[in-house]
Amino acid sequence: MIKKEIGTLLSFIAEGLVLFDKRGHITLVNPHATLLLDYTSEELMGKHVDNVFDIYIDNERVEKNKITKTIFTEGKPFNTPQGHTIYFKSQDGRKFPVFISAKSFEASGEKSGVLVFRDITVEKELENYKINTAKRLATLTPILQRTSTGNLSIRVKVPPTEDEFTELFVGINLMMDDLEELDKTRNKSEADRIEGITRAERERRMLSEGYSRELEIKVREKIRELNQSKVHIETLIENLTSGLIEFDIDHRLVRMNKAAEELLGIRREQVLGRIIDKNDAGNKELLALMEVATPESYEEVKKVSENVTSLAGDVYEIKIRDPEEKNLQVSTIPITEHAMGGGGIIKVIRDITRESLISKSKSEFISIAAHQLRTPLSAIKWALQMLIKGGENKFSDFEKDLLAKSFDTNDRMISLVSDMLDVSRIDEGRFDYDFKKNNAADLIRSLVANSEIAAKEKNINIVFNSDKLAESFIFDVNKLSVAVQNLLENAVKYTLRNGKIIIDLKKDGDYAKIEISDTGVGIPKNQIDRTFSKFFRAENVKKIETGGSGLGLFIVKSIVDKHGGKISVESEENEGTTFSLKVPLKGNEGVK
Amino acid sequence: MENKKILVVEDDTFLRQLIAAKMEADGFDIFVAVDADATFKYLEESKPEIILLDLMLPGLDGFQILEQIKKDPKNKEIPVVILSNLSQKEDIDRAMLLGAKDFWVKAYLTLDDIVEKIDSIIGKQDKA
Repeated sequence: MIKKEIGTLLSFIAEGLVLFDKRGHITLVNPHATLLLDYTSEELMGKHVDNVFDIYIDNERVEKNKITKTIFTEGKPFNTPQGHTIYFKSQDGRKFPVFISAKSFEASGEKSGVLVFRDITVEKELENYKINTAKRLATLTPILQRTSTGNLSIRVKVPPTEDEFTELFVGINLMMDDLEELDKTRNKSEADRIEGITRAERERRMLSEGYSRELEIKVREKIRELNQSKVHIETLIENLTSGLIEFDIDHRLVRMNKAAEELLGIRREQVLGRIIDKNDAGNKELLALMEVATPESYEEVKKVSENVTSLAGDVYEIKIRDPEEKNLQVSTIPITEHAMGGGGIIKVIRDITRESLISKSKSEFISIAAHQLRTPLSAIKWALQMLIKGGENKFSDFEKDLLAKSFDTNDRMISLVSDMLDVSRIDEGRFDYDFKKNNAADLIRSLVANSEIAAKEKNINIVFNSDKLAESFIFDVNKLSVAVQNLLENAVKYTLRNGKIIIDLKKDGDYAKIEISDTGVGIPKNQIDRTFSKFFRAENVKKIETGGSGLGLFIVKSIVDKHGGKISVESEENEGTTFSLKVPLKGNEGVK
Repeated sequence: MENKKILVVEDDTFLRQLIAAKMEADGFDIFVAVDADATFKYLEESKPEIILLDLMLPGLDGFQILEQIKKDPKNKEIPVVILSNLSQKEDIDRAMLLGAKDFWVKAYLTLDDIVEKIDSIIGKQDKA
């Protein structure tokens, strides 16, 4: 009963289980054991346990009675030795690994043995696979390590027989090929890129080297030109016949040429870099330089022109006494160009001693010439007059006429000389004026009276109308007298017999207006513009009257201008002419 | 009656001849001096009623002669008229400043004009 219950119990065990007696005969097997050993339980019952299957330790077959001998004879359990694998080979020849344990035991006073075993084929295969896989993968490790550092020189060895790793290995190799290819491409494009950059760099360097060489040549050329022109300018300045000195903005003397040294009697080493100011006033050596530097503060100075244009600055004429007496013309030119270090001034000094002398002698010459010319003319005048007066009863009419005409001609010569003298003085700016309050009506009346005789001869009627408001004003009586007399004489001269001359003195705004109208021959339209020019004589009057200097109207205009007045003319040929003089009633304030 | 004394200082021979002829004809006691020396020599001995003085002269010129006459207390009252052919304002101003009675330009006047002007000056002086 117990046996049967044990049998039922054993059938549930997942290991193969075999019980045998002391002789080794099998007394019990469980279904699992029969299944594993490929026997039926009937076939196994009673059989010797050592005969139903062969036992191998690893690949070595063990002796036939190994189990019973070990457990009964030797009294030891029979187990799978450490580090080895035990295989069973069943009667159909199937060999499979097992986990085995056999030992003896006593039941009901009798020795028995028990064998428990388990098919470990699956475990073994798994273990083998694990080991194999680890081994195979281990071969990849160094390759992958190298690969990770970019070294693709060694490839995975693909075993000749295909297995589950083949795909992986080939895959890795392919991947490495790709990497290598990528690497190559990258290296190549990198190389290409580097080469491109290098080439561009080289070209650029060559270009820029070429350009900078060219530039350097140009710069050198320009510097040379600049130096040359600087030398030119310096040489020019140094050798100017005019003296040239330059002051900077602080009035420091920064330049002085040779001519300036000579004119001012100083050497430039003495003064260059110095500020020339009032502190030097006591220094006799620097006196001339001081006078040139600040001409406006010296007495013997004539201001010639004032800043007419920005370029021509003030012009002074000064007289210096040291080192020798000289007349100098000093032009002061402000330096406005910023590039030239604006703010300074240049003074150009011209020695006009000789010019002044010439100008003075010219004026003296004209004065003397006039005097010398007038002396014989006076003698002729006086002599003719004596003849005319004393010969009243001695000469024939023809002779008397000749004498009268000679006298007139001589007088014309005298007034021609006077005109020339006046014009030369107008040209020199030395036609001196004396402005004061005078009576113009009185002046005109006396001039009209002087012309009466000549007018009467031609039966010309002279009418003078005067407005009290315009009679008294500021003018140079001698000069205005010359002006009005010239116009009046012209009017009488060029008005035909029985004509009429009207003189009007009237107020016209701030001006006194003197109008002299005649019924004379007039001035041709095409020549009227030139009426007041020097030596102008109208074509039509040249035929009537050969005398006349052509200077009269020029002098008239000059006189009116000097009064700050205006002169105008209106004329109609063969009808008459009107001259209008306008002179400011308050005088010309601009005239000293 | 005694003729009025006139001193004329003139260096031009023809002018001297003409003026002398005219003045004598008109009844003046005329002395014509050719330069400063003759002028002062005459003035030491005589006292003319009027002096007609040229300006441009050999040696001392008319201005200097005028100056000396006016400095001399004995002669300074004698009216001196400049009779010259100079006619510039500065010459006229200078002469007037030195004490000239008047300034006549020879070329602008006839001898008749001159006598007329002399008469007017001496006449005035007579009345004074």
